[in-house]
Amino acid sequence: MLLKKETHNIQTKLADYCKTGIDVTIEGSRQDRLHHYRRLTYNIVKGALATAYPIAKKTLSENEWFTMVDSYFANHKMQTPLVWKMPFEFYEYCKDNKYSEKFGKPYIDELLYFEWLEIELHTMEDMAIPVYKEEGDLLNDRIVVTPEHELVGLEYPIHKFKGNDLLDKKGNYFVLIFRKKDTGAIRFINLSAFLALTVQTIVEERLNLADSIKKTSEAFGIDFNKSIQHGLAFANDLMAQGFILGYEI
Amino acid sequence: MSISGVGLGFRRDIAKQIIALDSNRPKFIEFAPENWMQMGGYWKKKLREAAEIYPIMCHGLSLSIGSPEELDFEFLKELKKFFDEFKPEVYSEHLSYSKCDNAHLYDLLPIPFRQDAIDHVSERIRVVQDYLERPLAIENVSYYTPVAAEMDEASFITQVVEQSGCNLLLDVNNVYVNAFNHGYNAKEFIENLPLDKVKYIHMAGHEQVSPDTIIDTHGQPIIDPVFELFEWAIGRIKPVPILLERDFNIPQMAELQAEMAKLQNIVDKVWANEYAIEKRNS
Ligand SMILES: [Fe+2]
Repeated sequence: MLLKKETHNIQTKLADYCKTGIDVTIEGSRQDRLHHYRRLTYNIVKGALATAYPIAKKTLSENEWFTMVDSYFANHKMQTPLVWKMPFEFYEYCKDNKYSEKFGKPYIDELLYFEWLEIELHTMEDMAIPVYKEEGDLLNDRIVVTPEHELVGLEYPIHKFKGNDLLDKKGNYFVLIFRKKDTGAIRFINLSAFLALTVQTIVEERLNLADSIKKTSEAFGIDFNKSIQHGLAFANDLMAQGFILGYEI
Repeated sequence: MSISGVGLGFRRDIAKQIIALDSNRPKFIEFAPENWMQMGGYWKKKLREAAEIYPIMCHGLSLSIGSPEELDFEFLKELKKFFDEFKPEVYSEHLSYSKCDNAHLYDLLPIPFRQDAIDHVSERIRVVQDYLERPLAIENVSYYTPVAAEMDEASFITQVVEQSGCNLLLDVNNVYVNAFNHGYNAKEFIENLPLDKVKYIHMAGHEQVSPDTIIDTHGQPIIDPVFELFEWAIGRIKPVPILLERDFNIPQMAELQAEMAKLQNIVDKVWANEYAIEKRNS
């Protein structure tokens, strides 16, 4: 390394000051101007997080939000060179540091994750779509779905209720989030546990709709003949909304 | 260099408008690869649409050429992939550091103007140029305080350029900001730079936050003294592309077009002869 330890230490001092805002004396610098660097770097991180997590920011008190933001900026070493990906590290940091427990708001992690997912699915690289045909038999042909999607299981219905209203609603909730192929827009669909499992078997086990509903019905102890109509209507809706693209060739 | 004239920063806020422009178009667009890398969906589509219409310059944010640590080769690999697709005419970066001790800060911190830093940065630039198989243009940045400096800024920049063999992106507004903030003469400063290495010029607005401090915000129109400094400076430089940088408080497109036209007029006036020679030669 051609850089001297001394110069490295000076650079570290300035970077640490930006992260913590704790006053520092740096040789050969104008003390009255150092604060601009703290302000500029902090504003970038604060702004990117506020943009990524508008609902979480609004749901938490100002004090809680900035406790998380300040601690993250001061202590976490932000790894990604891409600012748009940086808020994911904030979600992980908050989860690892158990802010949901500290603030008595057990839904925080899920709320952050949910907001991040919307960004990720909207922005992530396009995934390969298998060749498919648009005409087919919805019950018996194998279905092709839009690849940029996530089936999310939640303990708190953060997509339906806000803040303290969530506290007594702990349960099992499922949401299908996906990117529409034509517009790139993100769609959210609430699912029952039954429909969530149906989607999962279609996507992961590549069962056709009929087999998937059969398997799910068995798992839930429901009569297949009763659930098939419901499942078919649901699949038609998924097709209309753009999650189901067509049928395997 | 095939790109000439005045270009505009391509940002999400004005992406649709830039794509839809049918007159008074910028001659090229510039964007930060980091704001568009590893993306798909809607924004990637917009970027591709823009790339169909405009020549491209890339101005990086996170290379952090002045970092005290090792280069991030994973990042360079991604960058190279991105350049393979978008083929920017120039890749430029800031002569500063934005990552330290394995933590990104996403803004530009001043490198100590010292000999060991020159050696270190120059070595890193050479590695980057070799890896990317393209030259790098480094930009003089605005800074608000020197840090443990052992020489002046112009000497620091000049030695980095000479030692590394890289090109220079001259940001005229940054020269103005630094001359104001640190009380030196802007023209003298420019005269001390290796002007034959300038391959690209940036112009932007700034904000004065106190009687003796200007912050380089890119959030205001260019002020007249910076236009004057620009006119003076380009008289000493061979024709290169000029970028209008506007990152915040983005006004109506017509206002940006007027600012670009003003720059273009100066360029046409000062470089009329050079342009004529270039035309004859081609
Ligand atoms: Fe610039």
